[in-house]
Amino acid sequence: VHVGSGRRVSRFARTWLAPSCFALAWLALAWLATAPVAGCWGGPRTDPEPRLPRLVEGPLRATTRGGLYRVEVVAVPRGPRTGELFRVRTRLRDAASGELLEGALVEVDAEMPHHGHGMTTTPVHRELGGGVYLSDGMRLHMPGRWELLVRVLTPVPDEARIEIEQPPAHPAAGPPDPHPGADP
Amino acid sequence: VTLPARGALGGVAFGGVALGCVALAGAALTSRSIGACAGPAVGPALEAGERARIESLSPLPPPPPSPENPVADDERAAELGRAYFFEARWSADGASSCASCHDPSREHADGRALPRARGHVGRHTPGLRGSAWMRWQAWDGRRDSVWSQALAPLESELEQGSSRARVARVVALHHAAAHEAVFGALPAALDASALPPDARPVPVEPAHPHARAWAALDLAQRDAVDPVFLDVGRALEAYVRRLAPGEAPLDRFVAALRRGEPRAADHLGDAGLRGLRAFVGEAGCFDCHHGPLLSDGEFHNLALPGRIGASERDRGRAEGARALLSSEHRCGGPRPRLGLPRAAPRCDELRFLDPARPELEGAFRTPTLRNVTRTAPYMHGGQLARLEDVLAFYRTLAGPARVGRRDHVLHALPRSVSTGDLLAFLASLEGEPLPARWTSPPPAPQALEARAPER
Repeated sequence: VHVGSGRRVSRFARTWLAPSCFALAWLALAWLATAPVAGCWGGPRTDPEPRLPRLVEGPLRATTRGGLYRVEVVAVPRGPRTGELFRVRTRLRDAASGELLEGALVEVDAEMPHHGHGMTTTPVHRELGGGVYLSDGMRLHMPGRWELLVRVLTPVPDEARIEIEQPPAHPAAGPPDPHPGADP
Repeated sequence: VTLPARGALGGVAFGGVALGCVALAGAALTSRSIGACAGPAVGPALEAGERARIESLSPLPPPPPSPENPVADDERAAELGRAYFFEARWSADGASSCASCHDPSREHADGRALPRARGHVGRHTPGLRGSAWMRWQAWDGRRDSVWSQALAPLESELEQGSSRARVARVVALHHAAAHEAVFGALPAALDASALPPDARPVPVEPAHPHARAWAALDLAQRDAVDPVFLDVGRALEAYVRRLAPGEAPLDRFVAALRRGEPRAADHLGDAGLRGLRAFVGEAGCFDCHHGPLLSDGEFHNLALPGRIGASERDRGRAEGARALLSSEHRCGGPRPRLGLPRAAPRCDELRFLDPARPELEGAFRTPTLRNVTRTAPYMHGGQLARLEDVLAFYRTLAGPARVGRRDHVLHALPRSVSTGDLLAFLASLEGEPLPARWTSPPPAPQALEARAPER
């Protein structure tokens, strides 16, 4: 009885159980192997490009190309939404001494280098005093990679470029504020 | 079969079973990813940036405030605006209303490449659903508010051919009670019987009969007509603000995605989901069609093919920006003394608008894509009859720009993006229909009371 029973098991195993288990195992393994490739593996994937700072993380700092100045820019409001008008306050320092520089002409612009275009607005610029300059009327009308251009026109021209990532507008935060608060 | 062979077979069978069980257990442990692939729980399948782009498309918030219209969200004003929208008595032929071209049964558009109007209008009639969410009005942004845009066709020779004097008279004779209920008493100096048939300022043509009649009016009459005319625009704006695009399958998908529902993508279907991912990804549509309106609200030169009837030399935004800056109805423009309200708006948009920027040449406003399947034909001159034609154009970007130069942001649709998938996604932008109230004239005729002239 014992031998006979073993024969029945082995015949069943040989003809049905083993092949189906093999097939099942390989199918499962194949699926598990391809799932991450197809982007179906659990957990969010990260964007391939290195992460750039966002305006909300300001002040963003840079040294101008010619090494003459150090600039610090901060957006008002701090995290302007895509399509929203905002201002940029720029703090200008002498790169060597670190002293705040008054009486300069500073203009801030923005470009999307990958798209070959700039902003749709024409900002106006003025000095607030104490080495702080204001550029009003900025708008990043597209989400994506932008470059802030801080141009120092006088006393000696030089320019800084700050790469930023503009996130897509998030509607849960409500409509963009059409009249962001007044600047001092 | 020998006993050792039997043993080996048994071992193989056991191994197979064990391997299968291990694999299945592993698969079960990663059930989130199973859901992502086998079912439509796409959350885990979307990369972080892709998901942020998708979520930024919905929901559509209420329309932005209208700083110069205190009754923009007033229910009675919307009802009055509804009556004005269907009002034909103040048109030059007595038979045309806003609804003649902005047909409520056609998404408040006319379904034609170019409108049938009094004169030749070289621009396609845009649908009105969603227009109250736009920063700039009309294809070229020649107005910066809905109320001011609503007034322009009334006094356009090519459209309704009316004048503010005629409009004010119709208000006084046929809508006085409803108008006064919203805006307060009509100006005492408004004397409907003393007004000429037509009178309006025509700055570019001072010899125009309407302009001469306007100049002949005494100041009190002009000051009485102007605020009534502006209030007609405000009521029309209150009505247009009710023309929301409506909740669409995309909105239901994004809401379900945020809630982590496993079958969120059922709202889009497989092709729609592929289309959405292409839309926010490699197709590049998202560059201009982003945000809950699926429009950046800005102006781009697509270098479109020509069309008979559409102007070949249409400068688009380059002219629209100039028209806006010279419009009496622009933000912060001169307002009649009796107009509402008197608070000075900031008008930041105009402060930073430079009409001389070269990229404005031949550029037209990015339309919303909500309900786009229902608003054929397409583009500012109705150049493209079907959505398939639009995508075919984006596939090749054939032809040079007739005015200005093509926007650098445009790239031809890659081969890997399926037209069918994009069309399936665009179909998911079809909103719920508007309530019947906003697609039909007021049920009862407006009170036909004649208002006694007040002197």
